[in-house]
Amino acid sequence: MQTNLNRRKFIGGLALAAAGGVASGVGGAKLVGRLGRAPEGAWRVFTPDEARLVEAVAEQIIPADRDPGAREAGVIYYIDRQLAGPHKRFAAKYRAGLVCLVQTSQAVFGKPFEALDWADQTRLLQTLEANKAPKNIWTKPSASEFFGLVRDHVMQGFYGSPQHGGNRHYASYKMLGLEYPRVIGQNRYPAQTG
Amino acid sequence: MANQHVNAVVVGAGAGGGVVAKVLSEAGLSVVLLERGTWQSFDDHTDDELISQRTTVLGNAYGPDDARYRRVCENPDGSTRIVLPSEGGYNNVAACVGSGTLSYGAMAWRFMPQDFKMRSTYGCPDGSTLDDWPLTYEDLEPCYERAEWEIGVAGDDSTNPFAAPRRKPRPMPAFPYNKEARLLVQAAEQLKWHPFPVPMLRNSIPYGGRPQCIHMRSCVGFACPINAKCGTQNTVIPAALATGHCELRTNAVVSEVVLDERGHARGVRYFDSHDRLQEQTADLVVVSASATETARLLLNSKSKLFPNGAGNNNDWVGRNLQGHAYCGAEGLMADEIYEEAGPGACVAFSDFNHGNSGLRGGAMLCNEFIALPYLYTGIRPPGAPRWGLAHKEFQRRNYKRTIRVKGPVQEMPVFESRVRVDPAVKDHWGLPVARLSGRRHPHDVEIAKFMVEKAAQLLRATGAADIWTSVPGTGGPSGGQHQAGTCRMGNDPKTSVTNRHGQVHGIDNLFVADGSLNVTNGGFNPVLTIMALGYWVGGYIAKEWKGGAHFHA
Amino acid sequence: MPEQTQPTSGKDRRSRYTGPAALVAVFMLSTVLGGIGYFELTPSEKTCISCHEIIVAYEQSTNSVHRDVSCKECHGHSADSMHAVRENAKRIFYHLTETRHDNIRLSEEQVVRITQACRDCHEREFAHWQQSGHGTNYAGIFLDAKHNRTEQPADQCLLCHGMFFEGKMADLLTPLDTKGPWSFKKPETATRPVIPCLACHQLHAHGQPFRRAAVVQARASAGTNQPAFRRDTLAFYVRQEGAHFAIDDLAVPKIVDRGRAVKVATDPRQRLCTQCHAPNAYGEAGTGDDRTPTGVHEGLSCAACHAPHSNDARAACALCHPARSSCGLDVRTMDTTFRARASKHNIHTMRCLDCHPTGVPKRASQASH
Repeated sequence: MQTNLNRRKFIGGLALAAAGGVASGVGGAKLVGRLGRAPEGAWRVFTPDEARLVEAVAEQIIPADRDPGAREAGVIYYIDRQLAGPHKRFAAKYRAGLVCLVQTSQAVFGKPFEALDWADQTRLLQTLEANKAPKNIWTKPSASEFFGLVRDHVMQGFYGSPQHGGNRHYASYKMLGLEYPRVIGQNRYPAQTG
Repeated sequence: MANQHVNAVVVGAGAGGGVVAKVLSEAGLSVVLLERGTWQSFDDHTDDELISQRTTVLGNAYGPDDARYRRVCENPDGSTRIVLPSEGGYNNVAACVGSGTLSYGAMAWRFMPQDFKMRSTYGCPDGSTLDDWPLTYEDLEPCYERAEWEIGVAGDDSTNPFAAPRRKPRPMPAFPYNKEARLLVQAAEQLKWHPFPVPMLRNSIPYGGRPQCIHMRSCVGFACPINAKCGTQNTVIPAALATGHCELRTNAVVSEVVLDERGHARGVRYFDSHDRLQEQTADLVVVSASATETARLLLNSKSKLFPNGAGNNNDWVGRNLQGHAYCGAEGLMADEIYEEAGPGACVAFSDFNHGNSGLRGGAMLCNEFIALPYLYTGIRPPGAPRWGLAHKEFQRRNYKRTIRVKGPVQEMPVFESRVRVDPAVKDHWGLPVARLSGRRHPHDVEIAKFMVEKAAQLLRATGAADIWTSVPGTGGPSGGQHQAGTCRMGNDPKTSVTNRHGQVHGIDNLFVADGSLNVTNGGFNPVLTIMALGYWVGGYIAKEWKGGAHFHA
Repeated sequence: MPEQTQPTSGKDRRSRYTGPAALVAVFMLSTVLGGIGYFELTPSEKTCISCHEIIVAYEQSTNSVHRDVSCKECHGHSADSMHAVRENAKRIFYHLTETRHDNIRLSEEQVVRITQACRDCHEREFAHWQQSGHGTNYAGIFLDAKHNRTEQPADQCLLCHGMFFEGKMADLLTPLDTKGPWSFKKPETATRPVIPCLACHQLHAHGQPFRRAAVVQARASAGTNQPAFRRDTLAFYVRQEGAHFAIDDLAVPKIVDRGRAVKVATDPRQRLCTQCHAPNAYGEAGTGDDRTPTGVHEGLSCAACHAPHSNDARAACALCHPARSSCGLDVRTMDTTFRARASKHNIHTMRCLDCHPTGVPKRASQASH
C-alpha cells in the first residue's frame, strides 16, 4: 500500500509539473515581446524631440516645392542611421549643437525653433552659418561648424542612394530627371520569340 | 611556420607594384606580392555615390577603412589633427588589389619630354627643389609603350601637335566625343587651340579578353561592373600569377623593411590577415606602396646604418610631397548638355602644358567627369546660396546644363612639404602613422590663375554664361590621389633617395617603384607614368638578375 | 535493523534520483511545448508582433494585397524546423543585445522558399513563370558557354539574373574569363531560379487586393496604352539598393531610334521590363537587350502583348488585329518573327515600309481605321 501511495503521489507530481510547465511556457512566451529595453521612438540615436528639431532644420535646408523636400524624402532617417554608424564620431557634436540651437531660439525669439515661422527659421540658420550666433551659447561646437555638418548630412541624405536611409522613392533623382536604377546593355541577342 | 625565402618581395599591388611583379615573375624570379587590401569589384559598393573612392562621406569604397587606419595632419599654425582615411587631408590611395587602378577615372597620359627636364627648361624658382629627372622621356618611352599595350590604352594623338613622340600607336581607338566635348571642340577651333581625345586606360573595343566600355555615368571612383576599365588587377597581376612564380598575399600590412647591420635588405615584416607578425625574406625588396606609405615604410625601417629610416641618411625620404594643383572653370549653358552615357571627360588640350610666358610648366585642360548628384551640391558660383530653396532650384535647373573644364597644374616641389612619422599616434597594428605637413609653392597658384583664365576663355567661346573659376588654396601640403615625389630619383645621393633605376642609394637590393620616384609630376594624371616606371625599375632588376647580379650583399 | 536505514546498492541510489529527475524533465518539456504551443495556436496578430522590430513589416502586410494571409502561411511556423528555432533564438539575442541591423535582407535561400510558398496559392502563375524564359536557373544562365564566350562573366550580370545572390561574381563562378570551362563554386547553386517572384513583386507594400471586376474592365481596354490593370505588388528589386522600388518610382527610359526620340509607353509596367531589357548607354533602340517597339508597334507597352508570367504573346494579336489594323489582313500569316523565328522582320521593329518600300498599295476593299 505504501508503494501505491508513492506512485499516485509521483504521478500527481508529474501532472503538476506538466501543468506548471505549460503555464510557465505560455507565460514566458507572452513576455518575449517585453524583453529588453523598449525604444522611445523609431530612432537609433535621436530622442523624438531631437528628431523633430533636426527634421525642421533639414526642411529649411531642402524645402519642399513642386518636388519633395527633406522631410518627405526621409532625410532624418539617413542622419539618424549614419549617426549610429559611420558618423558616430559626430553624435556628440550633434547633441551639443541641438542643445545650443534650442537655447538660441529661446534667447533670440522666445519660442522653440519648430514653432517659429518660416522666415524666422531661415534667419536664425543664416546667423548660425555666418557664425554670428551668440558666442556664449555656442562654445563647442561653433555655430557654423554645427550648421555645416547638418547641411552636409542633409544634402547627402537627399541626393545620395536610398539604401542609406534617405532619398525615399528616388525623390531627388526624379527631380533631376535621371534614369535610375540603370542597367546598361552590352550585346544584342537574337530574339527568342517573334 | 616561416615563409619560404624568395627572390623578390614587392610591397603594394597597385599601379607600380603590379607591373613590377609581372616583369620579375616573367623573368623567372620567385616573387611574393604583398597587398594590405583584398580583391574587390563592382559588387562591393556598386554605384553608391556616398561610398566611392571619389566621394567618401560614408567611408572609402575600396579602403583603407576608418577603423584601423589614421594619419596626422599638421595645420598651418603648427597644431595637428588626426585624420581618418575618409576625411579630406588624409591623402588617400585605395587599399585593394590594383589599388587606385580599380576605381580611377583612368586617364592614361604620357608626360611630355620637358616634364622630365623642368629645371633645364625653366630654371628653379626660389623656395622649390625643382629639378630634372635622372632619365629622359626617350629612356622611358619603351616602358610607356609596354604599359599602353599590356594594360590597355585607348586614344589618338593625330590632332595633338604637342603629343610626345611615340614609336607605336595605342592599341585601341579613341573614345568618341560627347555633346559637351563637341561644343568645346567648336569653341576651341575659334580660339585656334588643338583639341584631341583624352587617352584612357579603358577598353574602347574588346581587349584583353574583356568587353568594351558601356559608358557608365558613375566611373571615376567606382569599379567597373563589366571589367572594361583596365587596371593592374585585371591585366598584369593575373599575368604574374599565371607564370607560377608569383604569390599574392592579401590582407598583408607591411610594418618594416628589415635591414641587416651592413645596410642590406633581408626582407620585410608584415601583419597577416589574423594580425600575426610574419617575416618574408627575399634577395631584394621593391616598395610600391604609394608616395605616402612608401616614405612612411622607409622611415619606419630603422637600422644601425640608417637610424633615421632606410635610405634616409640625408633627410630626403618623405620630402617634396606633391600632387597636382587642380583648378578650372565652370559655366552654365542655355541648353542641356548632359548625356546619360558617361563618364564625361573625353576632350583635352595640351596647348598650355608648356611654353606659357613667364610661367614654369602648366597643365593640360579637359572637360570633367560627370558630377553625380551629391557632388554637384557643392558646385556653385562663389557667393551662391549653399542651402535652401535657391540651392535646390539651382540643382534642379542646372544639373544638366553645367559645363566644367579642369586641369592638373604641375607643382613646384617644396622641400618642406613632406611625409614624416608621428611620434605618438599609432594605427591598428601599433605602427607609427604618417604625418603630413607643408604648403604648396606660390608659383603653383600663379600658374593656376593663368590656366583658369584660359579655361574661362574656352567656356565663353562655347556660349556659356555665369562662368566662375577656382584656384587651389595655399594651406596644407598637396598630394591627394596623384601623390608623388617623396623618394625622388637622382644621381646625387645627397639630394635624392634612389638612383635612376629606383635603387635606394646605399641599399643595393632595396628599390622603389611607384609615384614616390617622380622628381616632378607633369601637368597630367600620373598613373601611366607610374606604370611605366614599374616597367623601368622591374626591367632593370630583371636584366641585372639575368646577368648574374642577385643583389646579395 | 541497521541495513535497512542506509541504502547501499547503486540501484537504490538511482531510484532515489529518478523521481525528481523525471519531474524536472517533464517540467522543462512542458515549458517548451507550452511556449511553442502558444506561438502555434495563437493568431499572428498577438504573437509575431510582440516584438517591436516586426511592427513595420506587419503594418505593411496588413495593408498589402495579402492582408488576408496570415504571417505563418509564408514565413512558416516558429518551430517547424531547427532552422526556424535557431533563427528565432538569434532574434531574441539581437533584441536583448540591442544589435542594430540596417537593410535587413532576405537570404537567397529564403527568397527561393518564398517562391515555393507563392506557388501554394498562385499555382497557375508559378507554372507559367517556370515554363517561361524568366523561369530559368543559374545553370541555364551562367553555364551557357556560347554566351560566356562573348561576354565575360562580371558583377553586372547579377543585377538582372542573380539579384539575390549573396556575394560577387567571383564567389559564384570560376573562371571569370571568356575561355571556360565554367563551373559554380558551390554546385548546389545550379538549380536555383535566377529571376524568382521577388524580382518583380514586393509583398510587404501597401496595396489593394485583387478584385475580379477590375480585371475584366481592364482587359476590355487592353492592347492600348490606357492605364491598364496592374498589381500593386509590382516593384523591381534593385540589387544596388538591396530594396524594392515600386514601378511608379522607376524612370521612363529615353529611347532613340537613329536620332529620333521613340515614343515609349507610359504604362508603369513597361518600366519593370526595361530595367533588364535595357539598351546601351545612349538609349539606342535595339541595342543591348532592348525590345522597345519602334515601327508599327511603337508606343505600345510590353504588357499590351506579353502575358505577365509566361511572357507569351502568341494570343495577343487578336486583341487588335484585324479590327484595329491598317490593312485588315491576318497579321499572323505575314512574314514576321511571329510566323517564323528566322524572318528578317522582327515584330518589335518592323514597319510597313519594310515590305512595301515604294509605299503601301491600295486595296479594293479597305478596312476603315
